[in-house]
Amino acid sequence: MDLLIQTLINGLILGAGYALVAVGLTVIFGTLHIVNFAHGAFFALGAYATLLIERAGAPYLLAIPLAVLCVAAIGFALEATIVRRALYDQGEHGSIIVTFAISQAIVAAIILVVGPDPLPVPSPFGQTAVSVGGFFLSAQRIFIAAASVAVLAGFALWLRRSVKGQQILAVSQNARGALYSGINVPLIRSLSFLLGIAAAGLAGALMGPMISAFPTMGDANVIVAFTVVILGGLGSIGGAMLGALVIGLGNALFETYVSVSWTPALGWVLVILVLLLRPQGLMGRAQLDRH
Amino acid sequence: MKLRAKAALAALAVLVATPAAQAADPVKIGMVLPLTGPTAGYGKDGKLGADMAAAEINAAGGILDGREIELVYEDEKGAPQDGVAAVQKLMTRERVQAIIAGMNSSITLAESAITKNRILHVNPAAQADAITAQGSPWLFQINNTASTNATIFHTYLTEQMAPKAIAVMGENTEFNKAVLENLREIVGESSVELAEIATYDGATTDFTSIITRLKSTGADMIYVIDAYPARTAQIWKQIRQQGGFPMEAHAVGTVQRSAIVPAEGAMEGVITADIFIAEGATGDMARFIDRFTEQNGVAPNKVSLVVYEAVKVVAGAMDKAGSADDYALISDTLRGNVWTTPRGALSFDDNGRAKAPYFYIHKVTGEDVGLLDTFEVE
Amino acid sequence: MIETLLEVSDLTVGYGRVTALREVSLTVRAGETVAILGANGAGKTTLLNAISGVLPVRSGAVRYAGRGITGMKPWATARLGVSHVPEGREIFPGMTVEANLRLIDVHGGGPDFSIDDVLEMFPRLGERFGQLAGGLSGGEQQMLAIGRGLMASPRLLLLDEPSLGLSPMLSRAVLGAIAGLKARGISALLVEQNMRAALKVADRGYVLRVGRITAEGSAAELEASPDIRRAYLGV
Repeated sequence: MDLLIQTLINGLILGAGYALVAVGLTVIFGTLHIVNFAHGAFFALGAYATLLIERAGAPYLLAIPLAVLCVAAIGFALEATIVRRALYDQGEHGSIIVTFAISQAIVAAIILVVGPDPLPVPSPFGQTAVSVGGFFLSAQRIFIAAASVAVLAGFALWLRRSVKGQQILAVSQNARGALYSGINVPLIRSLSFLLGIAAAGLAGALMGPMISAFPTMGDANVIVAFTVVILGGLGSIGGAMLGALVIGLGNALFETYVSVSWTPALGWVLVILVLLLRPQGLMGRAQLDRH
Repeated sequence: MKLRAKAALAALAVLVATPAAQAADPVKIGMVLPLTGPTAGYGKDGKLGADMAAAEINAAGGILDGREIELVYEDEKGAPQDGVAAVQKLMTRERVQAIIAGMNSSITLAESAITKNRILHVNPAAQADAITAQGSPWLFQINNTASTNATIFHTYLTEQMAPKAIAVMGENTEFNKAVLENLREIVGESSVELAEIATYDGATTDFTSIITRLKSTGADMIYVIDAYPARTAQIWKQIRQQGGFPMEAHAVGTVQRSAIVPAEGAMEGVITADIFIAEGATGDMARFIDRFTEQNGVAPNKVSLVVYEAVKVVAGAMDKAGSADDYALISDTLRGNVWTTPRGALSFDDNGRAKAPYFYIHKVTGEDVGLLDTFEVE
Repeated sequence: MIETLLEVSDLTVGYGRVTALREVSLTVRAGETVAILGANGAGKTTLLNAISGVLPVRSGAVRYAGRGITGMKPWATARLGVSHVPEGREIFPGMTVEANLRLIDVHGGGPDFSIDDVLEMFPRLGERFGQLAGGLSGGEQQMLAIGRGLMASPRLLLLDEPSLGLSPMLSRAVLGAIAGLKARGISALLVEQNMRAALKVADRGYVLRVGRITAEGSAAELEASPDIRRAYLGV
């Protein structure tokens, strides 16, 4: 029983972290129809920016928002110079090549500037573990989960309540329709790209203290995020959150009770099952109005 | 006036140097290292060692009557397909005379399929027994095999530390397979119990549940088999967060500062082992460490050392054999002689395997490993 | 003198090598409803898309309220009061009726339109207010598309085949609503295949045939013209 509770806690905390990466990916896919292979690189940039800002003397909690701003600024520069010109309306095929190239360039730049060795990202929560009734909870992970849930809830509320948020959803559902509604579609796309990148940067800043900063640190997390996004339904933000929860809990339960070595396959098995039974994903809409 | 004199001197130097350079083309050695990717730190460390070796050889007049050594680097990016591509490019485009390639065992196995019977291949660091077990006549390995290293380390773990039960976690790789096989064997002969073996995939992002599961077995020793520095740091942090284990060990030859520093103290006291330790070095090794530290501003680690030795051994064997491309002759020369390296005398057996003269049990102390015990290898 | 609101002169539009519109000229005066008549493929939708800025123009000019808007982006023309209700409705299927209306944040300078005004005009939308737009019937979606177009408070409404696929009864309701807009001072450029219905609500009309204007006149004149029949039958 204790093992089950500990496993469920592990899974929930894990899912909250996955959700943050996956939501960024799905927002960008939904509005821009870009498969952002550079997501992991922006994740790494978030961790490195946090680390460098901390080295400049800022405390971790202040370094996080500053790092997110830095990543968003880099994202904006790339969006304005490359992504906007090369990718919008070019479909998913071109986007894979361009975002992959961006990812390689960012990773190479990190190696050049900071070096390839993993570096610790200091956090006041450090290695502290909170023991509640015999259950171990890492303080950093509680912080990651709390911050992810708070940011995602805020984001969901903003999408629902604000006109700009609604316009993001509108562009992701029907970009042509948005054009006919007087919505500045390129502006909304740029905004979505920045939000998605900022979410990746935030995830890197939050998870950095746990996994250390190294140039390819985003790779494994983004692979999981891809399964989450497909599971939840491409472009569906609610789906990404649900998918993250399913994969987080599923992985934790599977690892504890079934088999560690088969766990990464679990996500893909779930993806295949969902695609067979419900091709639009858990929360995705069936395509109604695509021409 | 002064400037003009300098320019004239430089021109004269070029005039003098040119005919000699034409007479003796450099001997090109292909270096395949992970310069990017998750193990790029190893590539960086290895390159420092290789560059130092080449500089020393060239400063001493080169090999084969004055030919210089030229190192040509290619990036294997920590992936087998990139390793294969790098080796192919070096052999066909760069026309190198030897390949030095081998950090990760899975990648080295893929690379050795390309070099087999075609070119001299020296594997500096990868340990899996399968690499040198394929009967490749021109393939040599500087590091000990995983089973040699593991036999000593696992015997130390079971006999000296004597836990009741060991819980193992490790990445699903060739290296892990070799280490696990040996562990089962050694543990099978003792009263120690193997509580659980958790093999995870390279794409695993979090280890909390695995550690939770391992802790629930009640094992009193955790043994981690992983060669990736960042992941090693993450795993030990998460082990620490869950309260740790009474005894803690990490696989042979995989713990460097690049894992200990980002672990931020979580690896303190972890037992591991290697064929090299800087602490307490004497003689040739002490001189090597001093030279390296002076030139690079950082102390060498095992990776720097074995890559340095690989370059030295390849150059030495070519020089002694009197040829840069008669691989049968060079290989016979390699097997038939004893090679002096910073670690001491190194010789290769029929499979091309070198045996380290000494083996050290380490304990993580501060930001590096400290010496716990030394074994002489028969 | 009645002010000219929209003036299209010598407009040529093409996709790649295909020229869809050739030197088309027309005007819409303030408060007027003008119909564009023509068979499938005559270039009617292209014309509206070129005016609102969804499609780029090859040559010619579009003037609106005294200023050139040629090549202006659709979100810019919308701010000036040009609202486009496209063919195929192009609503947001995964959002509620309410959200489809609320996300419009432009004001085109025409008479104010609130959600209540839209619901008053199309009571059916009120019954479906909280439902997903994708679940609405074709007629309801058309009402929603017009309502969305009106939420931008336009001075000129571009309407593309509003009665397409609707039952005769719904079709009458929709066209009746369009006629009602005139009373509020909103001009309209109406593209229709249903010639009779269009001429009932329009003041004037143009006949478009394979990318060219072949006839123009008052609704009554066109209804009597033999040219119009040719245009529809493609003879």
